[in-house]
Order: sequence, then C-alpha cells, then structure tokens
Amino acid sequence: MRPFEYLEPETLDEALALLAEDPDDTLVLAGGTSLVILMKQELVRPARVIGLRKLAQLRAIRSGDAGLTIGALATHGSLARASDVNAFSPALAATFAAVATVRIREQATVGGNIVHADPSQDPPVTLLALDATAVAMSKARARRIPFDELFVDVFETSLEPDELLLRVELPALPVGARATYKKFLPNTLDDYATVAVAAVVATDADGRCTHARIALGGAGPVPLRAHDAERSLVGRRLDDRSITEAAALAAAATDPIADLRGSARYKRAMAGVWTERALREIA
Amino acid sequence: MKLEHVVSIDAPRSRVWAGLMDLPAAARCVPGARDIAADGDVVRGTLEVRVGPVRLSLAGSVIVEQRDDIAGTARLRADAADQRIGGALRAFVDLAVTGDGPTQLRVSTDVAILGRIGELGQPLIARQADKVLAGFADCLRKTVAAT
Repeated sequence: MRPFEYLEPETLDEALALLAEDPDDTLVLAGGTSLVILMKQELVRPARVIGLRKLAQLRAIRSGDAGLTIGALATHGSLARASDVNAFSPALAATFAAVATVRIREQATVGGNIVHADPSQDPPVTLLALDATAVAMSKARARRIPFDELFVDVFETSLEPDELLLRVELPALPVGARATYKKFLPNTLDDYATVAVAAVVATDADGRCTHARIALGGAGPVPLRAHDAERSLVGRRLDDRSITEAAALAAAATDPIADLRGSARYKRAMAGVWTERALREIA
Repeated sequence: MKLEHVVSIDAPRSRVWAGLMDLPAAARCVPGARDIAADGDVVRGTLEVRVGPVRLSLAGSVIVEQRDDIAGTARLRADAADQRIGGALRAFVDLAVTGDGPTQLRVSTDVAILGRIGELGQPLIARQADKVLAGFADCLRKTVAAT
C-alpha cells in the first residue's frame, strides 16, 4: 500500500472542510471493507484518507411518523438488529442481515456500501424499493438525492467528490404494505447474489394493488427499478396472471453484465424467476 | 480479450474512411484522450479512464500496421502504460467499413492487459471499452458530418 496522510476529524464541519481542501485526491473511510481492499491492490492511491469513526452522530438510527432515518455510519449488523428497522420493515432488517458474513456486517457501514456502488450489493436494492432518499452535504451545501438518481454506473454515484453522504431517509410505507428481499446465491452464502429482488406491494380491501415497487440488484450496471412491471400491477389483483406478466416485464427491464456468476441472458432469466417468487411471497 | 463492436454512421463510406485514417483527428475523438500529437506515422497521447474511484492514465502510441483503402480495412496497433496504478495494454484493432451512407464500421479488438489494470476484471474492462467506443462513434459522426 502506498503511504497516505490519515486524518480523523472530530466534527462534521471539520470533515467537510478537510474534504473541500482537496476533494479529488482525498478518499473517505467509513468501515473500510471495500476501500482498504482497493488501496491494498493499489487500484486507488489517495494522497489523504479521512476516517469518519469519531463522527458518532452519523451512526444514528431513528424512526418516527415520517418514516425511518439511517445514519451513513450505521453498520449492517446494527441495522439488522435495530428494533426501529425491524418495526419499519422486517424485509429491510433481513436485507442487512443477508449481507456477506458476520465479520463484514459488523464492520461495513450502509453509507460506505452505498457510495461504493457495486450493482451486486444488497442494501441499495431494498432501499430503492422503499423509495429511499440520500442526504449529502459538502462545505457549501446540503442536497437530497432520490435513490433513482443516485447510482450512475458501476462503482459510480452522482455524489460530487466534495460531498459526504450523511444519512438515508425512508418515507412511511403505505398502510398494509408488504415487502420482501430475495437474493439468488447459487455459489456460497457470502458471495454476491447472481441477481436479487426487492418487492413492496400494498392492496386495497378488494385485493387490488395500490402500490408496487420492484427493484433488482446484479441485473445491470446499477440497481434498477422495474417501472413497467410496477405499473402493470397497479389496479389489479396479485394473481398468477398479473404476477407472471410483471415478472416478464421485470426481466425485460434488466441490462445484466456477464461475469463469473452468469451470462447476461441467464441473469435476465433469473431476474424474472426471482421477481415472480418475491411477488408470490407478498401477494 | 476479444471485443467486437459495430456502429452505423450515416455518411458516405469515403468520408468515414478518410475520417478514420486521419489518425490524429480520430484519436482526438476517443473520449478521455488528451495531448494527442503526431510523430511521423505514430500518434502519441494519453487516455484518461475513470472507473468509480479507480483512475487510469494510459500514455502510449497508436500506429497503422496495415491498410487497404480499396477494401476499407486497416489494422491498428496500440501500446499504452498506466503510471497511476501500474499496468499496460497492447491492442490490435481491426477496422472494416462496409456499406455506403449509412456506412457500417466494424471494430474488432484483441487486447492483452498486463499488471494491476487486470484487477478491474474482464466484465468491467469490456464495459469501459463499450463506453469509449460509443463516445468515439458519436464524435466520428459529428466530424464526418462537418467535412
């Protein structure tokens, strides 16, 4: 690993000021599970690294009538165990519990996971399906970025180099909403998923769908929303026909990258299969 | 690693070919290219590539190894090395134009990747190549339309 200057600000203002000094040659360290590997491989060689571990306020998890707020430095393990997260959405708690292994879950943070922007990661998929918004701040301004606009490409987000991700905000779910997260893991439990699906639905007294969200991981360069599939469900009963149609539309929305977990064609087919399974579970 | 790209350019074949064979101008059409300079038959320059937090600065050269103006085919050879993370690549690029207004350009690349650049992995490298080629084709369309 190349030598670098390590800084540990005591306050958020100090962190933002340090980042503003030289945003292009400074990297931010949260849990370090992705960044340290990239640095050891010397794929990234920052002149400075800002460690955030003293900014305890960024670990906060809060729920209220407006929804759930997750601090960027909350670890996956703490989120999987948090009663506020489980009360908001058991599927979200299960998503955090499904990340990698226990050692990684206790070290890696949700903010680090999001800004790393690997399209195969778990939390962004469920957060996308739950209509999450990222709140970021630089020395000059604060900004809210809907998850739909956050992921730009493989390993790239729309965050500016001088911006720090502070928290993720989730609006209250529609009454009676049901959600699930399913990941297809044909290799080992700690592998990235070949594809993953998060689905959220709500239905009225007649059983007609009033709210549908389908998000896919590992199915393109970024976590995707299957908008056509969602629209096809609204106003209909969640029966065999509407579910298989939505699953086919979800598969059609994918743009998978072929890798050791499968060809693009296989991943597209599996996105359909796992969307169908997810919808049947919560129908 | 072998990569195949076909793009359609809505211009006469002769103009597309002339645009491609003006190597310094064509090199400037590659997204992220800078400091392009002709040095005899060789064109030198640097290609800046960014994959998330990983930034590459590929300094190298391109030369036309074979060229058949009648058939509309050429073979380019590119050698480049990266000073930021370490690594190098050598690519043989076969160009072939067919059709005429619209003209189809086929780009067949056989690239050998050495050193740390390979850590990025083949799927990601292929994806970057797709992006670079799509940007190059857009620029070539504009250049050819302006001549």
